[in-house]
Amino acid sequence: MNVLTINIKNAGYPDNKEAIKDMQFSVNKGELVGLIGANGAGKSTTIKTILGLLKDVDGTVSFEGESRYAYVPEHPVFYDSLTLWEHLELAAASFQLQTEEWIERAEKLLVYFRLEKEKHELPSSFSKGMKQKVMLITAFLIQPAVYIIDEPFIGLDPRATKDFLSLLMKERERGAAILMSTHVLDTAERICDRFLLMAGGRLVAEGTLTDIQHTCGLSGASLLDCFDNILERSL
Amino acid sequence: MRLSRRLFWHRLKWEWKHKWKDFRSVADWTVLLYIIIPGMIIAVINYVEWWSEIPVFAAFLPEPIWLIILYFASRFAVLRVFLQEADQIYLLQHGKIMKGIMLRGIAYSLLQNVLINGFTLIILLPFLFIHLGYSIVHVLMLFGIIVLVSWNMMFISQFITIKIPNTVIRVFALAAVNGIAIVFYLVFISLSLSDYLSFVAVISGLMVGFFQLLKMRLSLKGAFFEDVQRERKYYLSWTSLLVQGSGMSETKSFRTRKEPLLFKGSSRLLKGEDPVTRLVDSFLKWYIRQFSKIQYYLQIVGVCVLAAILLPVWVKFLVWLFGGFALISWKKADWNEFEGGGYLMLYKWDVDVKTEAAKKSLKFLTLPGFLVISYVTGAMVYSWTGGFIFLVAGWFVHKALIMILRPFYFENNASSNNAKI
Repeated sequence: MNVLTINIKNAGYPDNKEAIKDMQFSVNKGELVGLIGANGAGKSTTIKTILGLLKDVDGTVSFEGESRYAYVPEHPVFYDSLTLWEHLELAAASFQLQTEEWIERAEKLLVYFRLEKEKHELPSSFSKGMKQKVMLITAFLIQPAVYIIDEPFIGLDPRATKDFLSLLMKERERGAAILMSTHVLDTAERICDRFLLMAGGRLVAEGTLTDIQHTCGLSGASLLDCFDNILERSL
Repeated sequence: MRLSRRLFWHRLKWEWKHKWKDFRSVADWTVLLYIIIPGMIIAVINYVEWWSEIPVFAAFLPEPIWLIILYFASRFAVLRVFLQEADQIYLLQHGKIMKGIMLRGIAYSLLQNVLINGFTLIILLPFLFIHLGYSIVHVLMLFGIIVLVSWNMMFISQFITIKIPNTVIRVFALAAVNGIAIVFYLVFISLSLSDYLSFVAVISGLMVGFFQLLKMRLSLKGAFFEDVQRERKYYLSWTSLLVQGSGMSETKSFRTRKEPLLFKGSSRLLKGEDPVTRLVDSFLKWYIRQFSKIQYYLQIVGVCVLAAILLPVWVKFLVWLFGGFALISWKKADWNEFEGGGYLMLYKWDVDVKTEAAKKSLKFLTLPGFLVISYVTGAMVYSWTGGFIFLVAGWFVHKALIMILRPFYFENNASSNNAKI
């Protein structure tokens, strides 16, 4: 079942209205889709389009019903003068979560990501990795139908990366649809069900790893090699 | 040296260009016609009137109070060094170039200080000549002393700001140092006005102190990031003063606290679990925890209170209403900054929830300041009983202002992250 359906003719910015073009794809329930592309390929523009942050859009983006979504940005964003806990309160308020339910979940997530001691501290004083963990915690707190995650691995130490992936898999099993943009292709290859390869603002390949290998004619090749091959051909 | 001169002038011109652009973006012909020009005309008329008859309240103010007013006005000038964050990559290892830029920035700041002191002294001339019986020579001596005292204090304040990381201790230290400086300043003036030799000794001592402090400042190590942050803060404070509706974010401090000073332990300001209350609670805590925002709020209220004290009766009413309008408009800019902050935009908020939260937040935030302005206006017009009448009237006027401004600020402004395009 499609939870997120994208049908974009073109979308962009005032000085480049066709930053992305002819993007059609969907993300199903319980599916983890990797959005892959070089720098400037249009991944962030695609994500901003999905989130409704761009004005110059010709097309449709639809979530199934009134599905909740959670967005994990590439660069953590916080209010300098609110504590970690207050950020979680705000996230819970936006979705009108029941108090006892979200508090219990938040406490567990803080322990899971080893941030329980920093509960009443200001995220602006955190390290890069800790800030990223806070973004992940606020997303997991909501238990949305759709996750839109932009470069989640930046700044995460190996243990935190493992914890994050473990939780992401649990969410996938719960039925959440996940769209994840990443440059870490070996990890993406291991965990994603399908891939969307972008170049020059367009989709140049999509499908499972087998489909991608078939597209580039490199049977058994890694995602990195396929991606490289497809990019070369599209130039 | 040529590079440091070129860089300094480039940065200064860039700053003035952008200040002018910000000013033009705010002061269109309507603002000029209805606020700035009438304000200037009223100010000039009042000033000319002071030369023939000083206001009644002025007769009750003793000489030290006038001198302290001059002292506090002189503290408005900021010591600038014109360093930028990218200098750490390109210039930090070139000490002479950095010092050249800093020296020119300091000279610029000292010149600004001279102009501010001169302007303030001209404003106070009617009181100095008529009420206090100063001669022209006395005024010139006063000018010399206040300039040198404020130059010394600019450096001392900056050293305290750089060296003391703890906010509370820093505030106390600045208050203590300013208090001591005021005592010395009053003593210097008292000695100088009665004896020219004392004046020469005071000026010489202040000059020696000034050059010593200048040398220390230029050779101070490890202050680069504080300098950059201060420069950014100064630039943003001008822009946020002018630009309504956009909100300017607080500069990220290089010296970050681990825990907030106020509402520790994430304690709630407002009880209630509904989304509107949570949003209002978060906004108010976000606002109150930022010292610069509180400072700015108090400045708006302070200016309105001062205008209510000093200006003619009919202007007091205008100031009263303008104060309410200004508070609501400028605080709406803070709401816009909070609402537009990346974190809130990560989630899909109900439009009605955000609109309701905006209205409530502004009511909570602007009412206390407006009631202070109301009380002072009423007390100035009708004595202290009038103050209480105006307190009550202020409550209703505030409600009316929020209702009148609703179409401009509260509807169509709240946006939701709409997933369907």
